[in-house]
Amino acid sequence: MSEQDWVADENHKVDVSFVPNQWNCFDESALETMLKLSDSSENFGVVFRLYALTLGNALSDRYLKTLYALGYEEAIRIEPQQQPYFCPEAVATCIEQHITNRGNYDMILMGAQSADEDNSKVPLLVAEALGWPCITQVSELSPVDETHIRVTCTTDEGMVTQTVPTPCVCTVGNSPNSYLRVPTLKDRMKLGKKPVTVIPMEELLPSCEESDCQLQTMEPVVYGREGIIIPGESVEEKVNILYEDYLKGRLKQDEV
Amino acid sequence: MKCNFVINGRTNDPTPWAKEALGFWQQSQGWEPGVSYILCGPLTKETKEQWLTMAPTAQVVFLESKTYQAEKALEGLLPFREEESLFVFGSDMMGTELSVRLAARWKGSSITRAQAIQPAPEGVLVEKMVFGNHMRGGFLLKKGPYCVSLAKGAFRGTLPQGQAQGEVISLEESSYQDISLEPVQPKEGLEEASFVVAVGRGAGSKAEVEHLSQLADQMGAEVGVSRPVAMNAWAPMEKIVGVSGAMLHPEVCIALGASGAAAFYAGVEKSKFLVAVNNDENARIFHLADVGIVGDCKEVAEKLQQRMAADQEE
Repeated sequence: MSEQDWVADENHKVDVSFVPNQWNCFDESALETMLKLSDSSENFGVVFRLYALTLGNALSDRYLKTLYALGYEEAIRIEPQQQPYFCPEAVATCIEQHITNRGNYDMILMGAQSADEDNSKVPLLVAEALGWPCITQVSELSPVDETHIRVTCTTDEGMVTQTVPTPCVCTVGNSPNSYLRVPTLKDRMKLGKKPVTVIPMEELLPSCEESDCQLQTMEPVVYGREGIIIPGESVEEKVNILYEDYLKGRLKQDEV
Repeated sequence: MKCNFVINGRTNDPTPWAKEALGFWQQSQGWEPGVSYILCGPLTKETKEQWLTMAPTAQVVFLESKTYQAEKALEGLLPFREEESLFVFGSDMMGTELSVRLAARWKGSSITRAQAIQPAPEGVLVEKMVFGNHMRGGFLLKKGPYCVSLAKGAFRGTLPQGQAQGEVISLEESSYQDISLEPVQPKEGLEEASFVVAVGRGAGSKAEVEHLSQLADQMGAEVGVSRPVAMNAWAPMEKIVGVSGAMLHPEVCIALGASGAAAFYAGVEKSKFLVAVNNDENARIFHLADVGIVGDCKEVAEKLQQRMAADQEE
């Protein structure tokens, strides 16, 4: 989006509908982490059945079908009549209700936050609503047995590895080298046509209460500095100008 | 309204978290001082004394345990619920998590990464960046207790020479098994550096990022990277600059091959002087920098390092 596109309407909504969708980077890492866990489970006698859940409109189905092609057993989409906007509590309640209704999940792995709303609340609220332990900033999972999982996560103190009982909620934030793998065309043709399970949001959340954290204003942030482009025929000439006119004094001053 | 703090005292150097809490306290008005709750490992006499001189409030409660588990910390904090009070949490991972989960348990309201917090007749008003730092949202927290975690880099205070009173409460140890901790390289070197080279995806490869890092090192600069660089495993995650990493405030920052995405720019915005190098003359970073060079970032870095080395020899 260009700078001019960052505007809010009278309801504080920012229209991003014309921007092509893409994976949320944290969700992408979470999905790949789960596939790696499933890959590594063969030697442990633990079978992981993978389910993918999202909340959104039919545009998400393209991504969910990719997950079928990668080996996810079922892709589920909670369909809202109107997409919740800055209502992480409502999203968390829908997920918690679905988990409770199904009753057979042992672990939930979620991306830590959305890029747009940046609430960073949904996985934590889901864990609290379910009363499950929650491990944040997970980077690696490995199987232990039917009721435990080995979790590596980043904390403020350092990298912690620990054995955690299931059921539990795990969240993925900054995780290295975790782009989602690409399915083969064969798998896409074979598995990617399976229908997505669609659950109307009203079935899980009959009425959407106003958030306790109510959005009241939305303003674009204007950044900018002088933006002087250093002229010159060669890189050497430009670097000389940069150093002599702009950096030397500042760096020397700093040394002092 | 009373203002309490929940502060992370478990890191090797607690000073940044103390300064952050103090920054909020020193920059804010309209709050009554409450209690500082400090989650910490086993306390020594020295660390306890240190905290008592740098706590933002005169009353301190230490919640001490050898191992940390969020659930145990939450249980320890639960009895301290106060209906119409603000609880300020740090911008660290612990603060973000505990603010949301504690508010859920207390039936209050929460928000993460606050840039500004002020009391209001109907609750607490909070401002924070949203939409990848392109927009600033204003929110009203309507239900107390109000649990708010701070945005990285938004508050930096100076240490007082106060003397607080403290009591120590033992938390339950973690119930998880076979716990191993591998301490990470502290980020403070990057966040406190006065000269930083921040490398973006335009570097093109892991080898190139390593080469640029060596050049930066020879120039006497700390190295940071954009999130995509770390995601590609071209550099360690603790080198990330931006919303999800270090928030810099150096005298000089040179952004090499960074496009200027808002989430990255948030991390270099407070640089006193920002230089952009990118081979795309239309890159957004040029509008955000003080000066820019259109060119190959490797070539520019090499020439700059040579120029600086020659200057030192003279």
